Parts: sequence; C-alpha cells; structure tokens
Amino acid sequence: MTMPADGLELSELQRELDACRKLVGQADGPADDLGPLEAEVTNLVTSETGTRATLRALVTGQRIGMLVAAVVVLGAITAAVTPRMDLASYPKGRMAAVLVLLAVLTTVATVRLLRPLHLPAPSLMSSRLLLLAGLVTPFVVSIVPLHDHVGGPAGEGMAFAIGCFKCLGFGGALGLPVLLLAFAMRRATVDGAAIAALAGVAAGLAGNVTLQLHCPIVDPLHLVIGHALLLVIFGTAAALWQPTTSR
Amino acid sequence: MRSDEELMAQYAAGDAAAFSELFARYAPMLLRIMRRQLHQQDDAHELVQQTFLQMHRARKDFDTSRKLRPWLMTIAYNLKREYFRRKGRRPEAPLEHEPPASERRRDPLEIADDQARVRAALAMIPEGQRTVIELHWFEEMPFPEVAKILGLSVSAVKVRAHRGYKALRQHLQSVTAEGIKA
Repeated sequence: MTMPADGLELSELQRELDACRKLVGQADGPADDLGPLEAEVTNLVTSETGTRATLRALVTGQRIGMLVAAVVVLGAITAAVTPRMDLASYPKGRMAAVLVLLAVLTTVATVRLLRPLHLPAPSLMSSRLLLLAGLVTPFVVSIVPLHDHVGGPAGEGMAFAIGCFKCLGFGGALGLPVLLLAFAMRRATVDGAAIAALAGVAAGLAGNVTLQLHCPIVDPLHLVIGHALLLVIFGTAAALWQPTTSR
Repeated sequence: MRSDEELMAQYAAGDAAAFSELFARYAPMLLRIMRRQLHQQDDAHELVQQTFLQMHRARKDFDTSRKLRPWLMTIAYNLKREYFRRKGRRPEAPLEHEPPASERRRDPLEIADDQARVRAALAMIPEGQRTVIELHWFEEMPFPEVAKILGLSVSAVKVRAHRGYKALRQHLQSVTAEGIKA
C-alpha cells in the first residue's frame, strides 16, 4: 500500500482512500447466506400483531396526535364531570395560560419521545434540557402567587397531607393511561432513561391538566406537593420501568 | 425493475413480497456496515434484524417522494449509536485478529494483513469522522446523502470527511512504518 506525501490534495487522498475501500471490500469475504437472517426477520415482522403493534405502526403524526388528544380528552372529561368548585371565579387568563403551557409541554415531550428512528437523533443535551423544562415548569407555575382569588382550603397537618395524597391519586389515576399509551406507541427503546422519563413527564402533565380543572386549592405548597410532584413520580417510574419495545 | 421507493410503497400497502425484495437489496450492505463497525457477528445480525423491524414499524411514515436508502440508513445508524451507548464504549478494532508486528510487512500483498491495518487505522479516528468515511467511501454514498443520514449539513460532512481522511492517512502511515521497522 503506497502512502501519499504530506500536503496532499483531496483528489490524492481520494485515490488513497479508494485503495482502502477496495481492501476492506475484499476483506468482507464471500457473500453470506442470508436465508436464516431473512427467516428471523420475517418471524419478527409477522409476530408484530395486536393493539400495541397497530399503535406503533401508525404514522408518527397520528401517534403524537393521539397522545395529545388523550390529554385533552381527559381534561375535558374532568372539567365536565368533576370541575373545580371555584371554576366560575377562577381567573380565566391564568387558567388559559396554565392549560396552554401544560399542553405545549406535553406536545413537545411527546414529539421527542415518539421521534421516529428514520430521523437523525437530536442531541442528548437538548433532550435532557427538555426533560428538565418539563419537570420544573409545573413547580414554577405552582409557586407563582394567585392574587385576588381564594380557592379551597389546603388544611393543616394531617388534613393537608391527605389533601395532597388525594390529588396525587387523582392525577396519577388519570395520568397513568397516558403513560401506558406513550409506551405502547413507542417503536424502540432508545436514548436511555432520560428519554423514557419524557413518557412520565407527559403522564404527569396530563395529571396536572386534570388537577388544574378539578382541584380548587391554590395554596402553593399544596400545588407543589399534590400536583407538581406527580411529574417527578411519573418521570422516575418511567425511567426505571421503560418496557422493552424491541421484541 | 421496481425502484426501492416503489417497493417500499407496495410493502406499506400490504405487499409482503416487496419486503423480501427490499431485504435482498439492503441486507448485504447493512450486514457489511454493522460487521465493520461492531466486529461481532451475532451483534451485527441482531442490529440488521432490528433495522428491518424498525423499517416495518415505520413503513407508513415513509414518504415515497424521498429516497429509501438514506431513510433506512438513518434507522440503522440510530440503532448502531444506541448499541454503542448501551455498551458504554466507542467502536473498536478487532486487534486480537491483527497479525503480529514482525509479520506485518513480510508479504505486502497479503490482503488480510492490509485489511487488519485499515481496520486498525479506522478504529483510531473519531467516530463521527469514521462514520462519514464508512458511508462515503466504503458505501459510495454522495455527501448530500451522508448529510441526510447523519442530520448534518453537507459542508459539515465534508469537513468531517477531510479531517477523517487526513487522520486515517496518518494512522495508516504510522502502522505501515511500524511494520517496515519490524
């Protein structure tokens, strides 16, 4: 193998690398018998049946739309069936701002979570920042004071704790279907726990949407522990659980 | 002969036979690329399987106005990236298969010897540059297609290629010089 001199042009380099390519090509040896591999692949593909396979095979826009729609539907059902007692007097601007913010975060988290593999992966750093934003924003919203509005009583001591647990249970129960749907529609288990946690963030945001429409308590500490904490719980659970999607 | 894109459209519409044809067209290339990077036959097979499985799951996402090859290659490269992320390491050369230094230049026409040298040199360059070289030189893909697969601009790919070629040449020179000394 001849080596080019220093300061060579790209064309010279091209010739050199072309020689490398031929060497590697020769090194690949005789053609494989791909029959067994094709049989294995065919088995994998034909075993893709059932609801989960159907959901995964949907067009990506539909998968994202379904997950966001699930959050909207859960919110609408909550508002219709068990609306917060102070809904009529609650500041409309704040309600709209909070719901839009939660919906936008849910959509962005869903888009990243369900990003198909035929698109180049975004940097892990940007995904981690998105996760951080999804986790932190509800906490920030919780501590922004609500002037001129007195909601329901947060209680003290045990009553306060019970109130928080009730909200965690309510939001958790309504967020869980979103988590299950998100994992069901995910086509591959890639990019580690940070991305899996986004499924939990989406579920936690869904839970917070329903709580925003259901719980009349506006005490910041209750909102932090009883509502925003749901994202951390779901996020951690999703990162730890992360069901495999390869088989 | 039907184009790759036509086959993919037919497969998405439910024509199972189109899948066999796509497999026949792409499996050899995918297996070659995976072997070259993973050096583990079983793992290479597994990633090729996963690539086709993901192609199946994403079949309705395929836009027939676009080319299939970069679409499929992006899937393969994302799976390969995930493989190395889970292994917690960058690709390595199969150094245990490299002949001893004393025998390296004994027969300059020994193809296996040259092949080991090229692979060893390739393994020494950064993964981003190696990937570009793999696709552009070994798989003969044009820069715009490589850029599409890797999600980079064409100019960024060219810069990586230039740096990669330069580094590869230097490593090949040093490996060869080492062999001549021996």
